[in-house]
Amino acid sequence: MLLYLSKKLAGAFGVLLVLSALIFFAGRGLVPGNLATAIAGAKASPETIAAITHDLGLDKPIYQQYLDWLTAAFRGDLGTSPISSQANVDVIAQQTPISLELSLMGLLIAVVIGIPVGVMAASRAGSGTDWGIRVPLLVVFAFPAFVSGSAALYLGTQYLTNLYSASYIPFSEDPMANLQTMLLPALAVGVPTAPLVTQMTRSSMIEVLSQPFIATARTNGIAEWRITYVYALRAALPPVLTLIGFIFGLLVGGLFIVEEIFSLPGLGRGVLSSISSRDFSQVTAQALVMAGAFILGNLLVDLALPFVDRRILRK
Amino acid sequence: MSTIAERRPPSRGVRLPRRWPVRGVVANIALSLILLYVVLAVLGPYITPFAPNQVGAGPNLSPPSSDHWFGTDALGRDQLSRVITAVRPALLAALYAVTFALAIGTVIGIAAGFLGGLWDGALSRVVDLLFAIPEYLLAILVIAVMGSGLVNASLAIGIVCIPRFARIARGSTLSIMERSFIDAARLCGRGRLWIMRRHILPNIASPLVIMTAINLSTAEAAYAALSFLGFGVRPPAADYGSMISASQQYLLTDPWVVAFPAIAFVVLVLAFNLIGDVMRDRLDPRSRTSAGA
Repeated sequence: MLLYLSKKLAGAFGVLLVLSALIFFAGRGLVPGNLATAIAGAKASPETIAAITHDLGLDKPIYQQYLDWLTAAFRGDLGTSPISSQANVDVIAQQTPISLELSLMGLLIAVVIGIPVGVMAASRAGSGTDWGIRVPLLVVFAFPAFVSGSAALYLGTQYLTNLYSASYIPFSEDPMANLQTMLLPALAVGVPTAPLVTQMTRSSMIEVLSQPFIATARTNGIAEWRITYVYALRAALPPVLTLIGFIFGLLVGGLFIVEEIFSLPGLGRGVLSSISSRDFSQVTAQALVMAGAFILGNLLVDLALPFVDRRILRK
Repeated sequence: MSTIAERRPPSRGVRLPRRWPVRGVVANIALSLILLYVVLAVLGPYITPFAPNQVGAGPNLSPPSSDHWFGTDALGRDQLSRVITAVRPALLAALYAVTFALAIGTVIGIAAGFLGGLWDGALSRVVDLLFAIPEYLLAILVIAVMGSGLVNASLAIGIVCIPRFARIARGSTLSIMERSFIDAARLCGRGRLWIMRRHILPNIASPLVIMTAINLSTAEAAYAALSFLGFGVRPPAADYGSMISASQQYLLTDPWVVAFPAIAFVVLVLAFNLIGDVMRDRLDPRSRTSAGA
């Protein structure tokens, strides 16, 4: 168990380290030409440019800049944006809770819809019910976030006006008002994701249901619902859990679009605005947090797996 | 006893799956839809009733009428013409992205599976790493560095799709490597490149074709999303994502300006999804229940 845990932890840490380098250099590639000139403007005097270059540490070799940035990041200092002169950590601290709440709610919605529907489809595999479930889900799956988001916004402002309010209020201040803002965006993210969960649950369940221990349970006279939801579902969960880790990444993608549509001040919108204002320092920090959250999500799934399925540890 | 003379030369080129891999009612509907879109993409410029970028072809924001079947947008451009014109960048983006990912992913996968050892370790790490970045974040970062546009956005999506192709190519290569004809080719003194090209590639073509079909819909949706965020073809040109984002502010008053491009796009993605789903059933026999439908 400990070996498994430490292996996964070390793996995640290694990936994060390499990613940090990729993100750092991608951020530097965001601004064409000399960073200092870009910040100071075209008409700045050579002295100003030299001063900015020195302030930002741009006169050091690039690997030294990366190492400086990395050690600062380990201390929790993600730098200060030279464009908006705000500390990146403060900006991210405001944006992250919104994105996190949105993706967790979206994930919850996807799982709550996806797993039961997948189990239903699997226990009647090949029948009309199975197809009656799969085809509508395929149609829903064809709705990309920007279409489902537009549709949700239209419904929310046109018909469900009680259900939706446009101004964002933090959860800690007023939970109900917060949910009022977040529910529709979360549905717009979660519902189109549900078919993925359904599909994986269905194929994993079909495999499990054909195994001998299910037949044994049946001959022992255990109720059919108990076999399906307790015995089979538990054995079918590991691939579904792995998929959920993967979906977390998809949700991050959904964030870019849904936050844009609903004007939520989250990380996704933050990255886009940093890119358009060519704020390399801020975009680096935001991308790092995003990638870190994704890796963390996958790590949590990996750590949860042995509790669902003990066989994983024996490998 | 002249069996040696009768030896059949190894088949040339890549062999496609023996049976046409998609059959059944659902697949036929999906295929005809895609064919329709391809025809629209090719004939697009010749059949649109108005020039797609002609401002003031009709009154601004007019609802669907006999003159403008899909209505007009905020600048009075004919929506039907724009919806038809937008098919081409949409299909091209998916095609570029998937071709790029297929080419690079296959090379990485075969090399990792065939060469094994250190190569496999290094290449698999790179693939795992690409998998570990949230897809859209990776695509947007790539575009942030390379700049937006149809080709760059497609390449960004292609990079995101590479690991999927690499994984399946590696896995299939490993299972082919155990077959005796690989050993036979080695004993005949064939070079590694020759074996990879003539023995491995044709034998892993089938899963790769299926993976291509599945990824077409992903790439399609991803391109529209990027174009929605303003990273696609440059603005006056018609493109589903940018049309929808530009019309977003009229959603409440004139919903059709959003509805028509959205419907046209969703139907296209749905057709790709249906093909992908039918193909996936073939790739993953666990989930196959009713034959081919």
